[in-house]
Amino acid sequence: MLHDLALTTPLLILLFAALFTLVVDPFLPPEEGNRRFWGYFGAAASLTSVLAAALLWKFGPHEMQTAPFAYHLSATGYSLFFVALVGLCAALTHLASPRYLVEHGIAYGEFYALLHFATFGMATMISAESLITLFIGLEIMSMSVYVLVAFKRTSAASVEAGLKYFIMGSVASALLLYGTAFLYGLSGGTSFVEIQRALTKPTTGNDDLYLGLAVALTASAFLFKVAAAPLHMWAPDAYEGAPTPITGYMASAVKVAGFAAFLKFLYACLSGPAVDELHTALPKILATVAVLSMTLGNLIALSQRSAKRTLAYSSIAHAGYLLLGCVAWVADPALAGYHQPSGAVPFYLVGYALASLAAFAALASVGKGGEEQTGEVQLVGMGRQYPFAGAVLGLAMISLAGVPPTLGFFGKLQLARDVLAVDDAKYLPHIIILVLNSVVSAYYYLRITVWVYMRPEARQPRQYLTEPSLQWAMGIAAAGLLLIGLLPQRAMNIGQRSVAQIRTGVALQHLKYEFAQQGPQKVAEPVAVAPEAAEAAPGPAPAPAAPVAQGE
Amino acid sequence: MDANLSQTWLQTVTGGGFPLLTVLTLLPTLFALGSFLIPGEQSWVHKALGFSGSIVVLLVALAVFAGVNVAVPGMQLVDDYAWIEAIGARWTLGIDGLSLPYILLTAGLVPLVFAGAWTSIDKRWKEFTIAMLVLETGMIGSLLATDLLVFYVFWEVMLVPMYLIIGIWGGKDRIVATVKFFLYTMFGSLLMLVAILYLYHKGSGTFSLSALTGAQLTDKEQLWLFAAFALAFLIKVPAFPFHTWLPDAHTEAPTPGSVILAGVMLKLGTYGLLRFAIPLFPAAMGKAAPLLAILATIGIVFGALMAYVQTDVKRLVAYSSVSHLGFVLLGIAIFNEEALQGAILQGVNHGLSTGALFLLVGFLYERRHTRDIAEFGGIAKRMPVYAAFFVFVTMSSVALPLTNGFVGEFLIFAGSFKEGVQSSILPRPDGMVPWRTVVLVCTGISTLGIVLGAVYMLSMVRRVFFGGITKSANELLRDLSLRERVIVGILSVFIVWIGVAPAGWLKLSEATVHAMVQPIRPQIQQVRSPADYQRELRTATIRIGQPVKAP
Repeated sequence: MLHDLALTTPLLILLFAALFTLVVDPFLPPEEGNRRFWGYFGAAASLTSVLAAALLWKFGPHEMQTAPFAYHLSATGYSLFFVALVGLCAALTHLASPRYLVEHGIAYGEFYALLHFATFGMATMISAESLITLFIGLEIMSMSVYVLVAFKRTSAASVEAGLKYFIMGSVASALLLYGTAFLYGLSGGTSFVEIQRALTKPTTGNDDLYLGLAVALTASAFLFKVAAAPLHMWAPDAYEGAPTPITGYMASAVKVAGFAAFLKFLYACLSGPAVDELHTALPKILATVAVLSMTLGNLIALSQRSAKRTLAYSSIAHAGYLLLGCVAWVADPALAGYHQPSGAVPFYLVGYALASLAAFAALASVGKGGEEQTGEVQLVGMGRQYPFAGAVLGLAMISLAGVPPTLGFFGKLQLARDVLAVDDAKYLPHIIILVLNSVVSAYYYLRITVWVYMRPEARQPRQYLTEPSLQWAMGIAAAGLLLIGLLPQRAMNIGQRSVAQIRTGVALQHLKYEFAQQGPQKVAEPVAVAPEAAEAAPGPAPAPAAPVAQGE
Repeated sequence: MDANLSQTWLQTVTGGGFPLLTVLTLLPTLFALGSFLIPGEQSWVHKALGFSGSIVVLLVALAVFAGVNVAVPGMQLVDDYAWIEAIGARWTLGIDGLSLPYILLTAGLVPLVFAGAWTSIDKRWKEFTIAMLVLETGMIGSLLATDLLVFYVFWEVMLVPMYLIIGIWGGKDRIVATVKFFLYTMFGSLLMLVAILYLYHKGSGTFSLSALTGAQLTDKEQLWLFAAFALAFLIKVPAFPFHTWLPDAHTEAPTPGSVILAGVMLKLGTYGLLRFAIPLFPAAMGKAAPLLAILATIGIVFGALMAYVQTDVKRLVAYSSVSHLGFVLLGIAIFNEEALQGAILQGVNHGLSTGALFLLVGFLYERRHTRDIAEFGGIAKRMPVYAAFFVFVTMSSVALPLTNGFVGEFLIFAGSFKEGVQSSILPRPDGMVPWRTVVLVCTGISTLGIVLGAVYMLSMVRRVFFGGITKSANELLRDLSLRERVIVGILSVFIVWIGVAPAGWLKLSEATVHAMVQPIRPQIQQVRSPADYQRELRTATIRIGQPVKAP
């Protein structure tokens, strides 16, 4: 029990940080310094959680031993990697927030507590090994983020954004629950292991339909969370209305958590003979959604006038790129044959999260005196009057556009490489569409750099937020983009290692058990088929003869 | 013939010692980092840092030159280190006779550009220094890379600094021009990236050029992959239908940007064709060669005609680049030794003479803040030294004998006439593109292009420099300062040197070109004209300027 608790340290740190903030904040005098303290505290707590995850990774792999944990939570390399990534996103958001909140008159301690809760929810969702835990994590995250989006109570846009997000998000949660119900009905269990064990037997009759329904419903919920078209409608309004650091948090951490949980669900839960037919259909569906999402996101982003809204649509496009990466994952024979899936998506997520955080931190520095606009007028001259933020924003744009030597390029490279490897370049057209989309997206990313660097400036200089913590947030994200971009080897390996450890030991043991049972069946099948094959094609005939010859 | 074994010109000759090429590539960025760390208030620090940094780079480039044995084909001074093992990309750099002339050109031009920018860049020197030095790293890296991914990374690294140079320090319509430049180039290079990845999967997970030259591809795959590579390079060159970004970019770019763009970056397009597209897909090149030759010819004539009607001096020089690069492209399309030698040398020549022209136009612009031809007239009276230099460089640009332009263009035409005449001896096999006709017609028309070149350049010179002074503003023009004279003087020395004694310069790439043509040309010829190929095998020993040996 204690051992298992120790493995959840990263989660517990986040939870206690949230509770500590909530309990202590009311007793502090409402001074500006105290409000800002929570930002530093939050960053420290999140980084401690990252450190805990890193230590567990380093001295792991550890397995949950008691049943209550083992069937509901995991501390595999996969979970730890994404918990650490989400923790890093949270830390940078904490650093970017304090001055912004003061400037906009919303410096309340609850903000930081909610951020911790949201991060805790994500960590739970990522570590979940059962649909119930997954749902609880998702709800903790969603509820906190709804409130954070609407945190600027005095701003109608912010409240509207929060309400929209809440209503649509509730529908997504309902879809997830409905899908879970179907899966429960099919398998008799809610943990991934149980579901997968049930699905190792071929389906009969109507089960196929229900399985399809279950996957469609659950997948829609995840697609909603990662803002993929056509379930993206909430994103632009929510992104634009939310306080800028929260927009960065949504673009990075929420997307990371959504993809991490989605992939784990697809891989650890929905694989086995029962879903074979599904696995011929699923890549096609995902690829179609991916193409739709990237094209729609990029085309609409072209006509936006505000940097924040542009980046909201760009995040829809990036969801599309990532979904194409998921195709490499799902279409991999790995799902049927238990090989190692592609590490492209985790690696891409690192680059995308860092670039988003850098961009929104830089945009947060524009909002002096409660101003929420991030259009051309506000950004012109930034490169000269606040060179640091201008450079960070420019770098983030270059990285999002996928130009080397930034991290964004290597993410796209590895993604394209892995998708091309599927079925002998079957998805080549999709890759070409991705590439053309990158060119389209470069136009609006460049437009932001044009505003920052090239347009003639206004007469009177603008005021920018030059808070050290905000600069640290920008600096860390930008340094990550450049340094990991120049030497991506290590990060790629970590991503690959994380996906290699996606299954828990418990699940592996169960699968071994199932396959031991299935063993005779599996052998029997080829024997039954063999005479037909031998008649149809004389080619393979010498192969069975070989062992005989050896025997003699 | 086993394609893989015969590619001796891509095999490593020397390497494994001191990583001189890595140093050469990364040194400019190191200086850029230094500039990044120094506050930007005092621009002279950054000017000095940029200039001295690029001089150091030039010295290292000369050390590389000293270390290369040009008589031996193959990759020399090779650096080979692990980079991204997860996807099988290695940090491999190498130099041979194909890249050596352009390395020297690049390293030589950048200090001159810094000197030339001394007064023409009037703001944000810190950013300018950083951008220019990073750009230098990108150019040198693209020229040295022998790993496709390393090449691609450097190829794209060039993009951002040039985007900033045009966009921040450029003229009135700089933003449209620079975004156009960026998007055009990125479009081409991203399709090339897809092709690289496809090739990577076909070639069992490596990006190494020498390993991929033997990849087994079907004809259809070769053609599509070649199309993707060629599109990226033809946009950069720029060849005829893809040239529309160039006049804008050149005209709006500040003088240093124009010089680098014309001097080095355009040449990287032709270099990429020679280094990557053709060796990787020779059979596709065989099919595409007539099209390339036709595009080159259209570019020569179209560029010249467009240049003739320009009213802006800089735009005129920009269109003349389209025309000049057409000659280089023609030489590549012909792909025999004379034409290739000419194409490589003509690339260097164009860098020198067009670079000098852009610098000179820039000097005039600094004085008058206009480039409209109608605004000038008779300024030879006020600026005699300037006029002398300008007319001299013009002569080089129109390929007057004893200047460098003549040598390059003569070699290209010698090669293409030889090709046309040789391949016209035997009757055409059925169903093939009439290569002989294409070559002869294209060569004939291109020769006229030289005349057109003289027409537009000389008429511009007449309108700008001679006659009476019509505008009062021109009365007070200063002649060139010492700094300006030195800059153009250095370029002029090389113009004469190559023009009078080209043998040493041609030797730089001779061995490599010979070794490159040997294995690749037969593969092109097999596709292009089987009968010619048979005949050519018999007469392979007959080469211009050499005694005929018995077979």
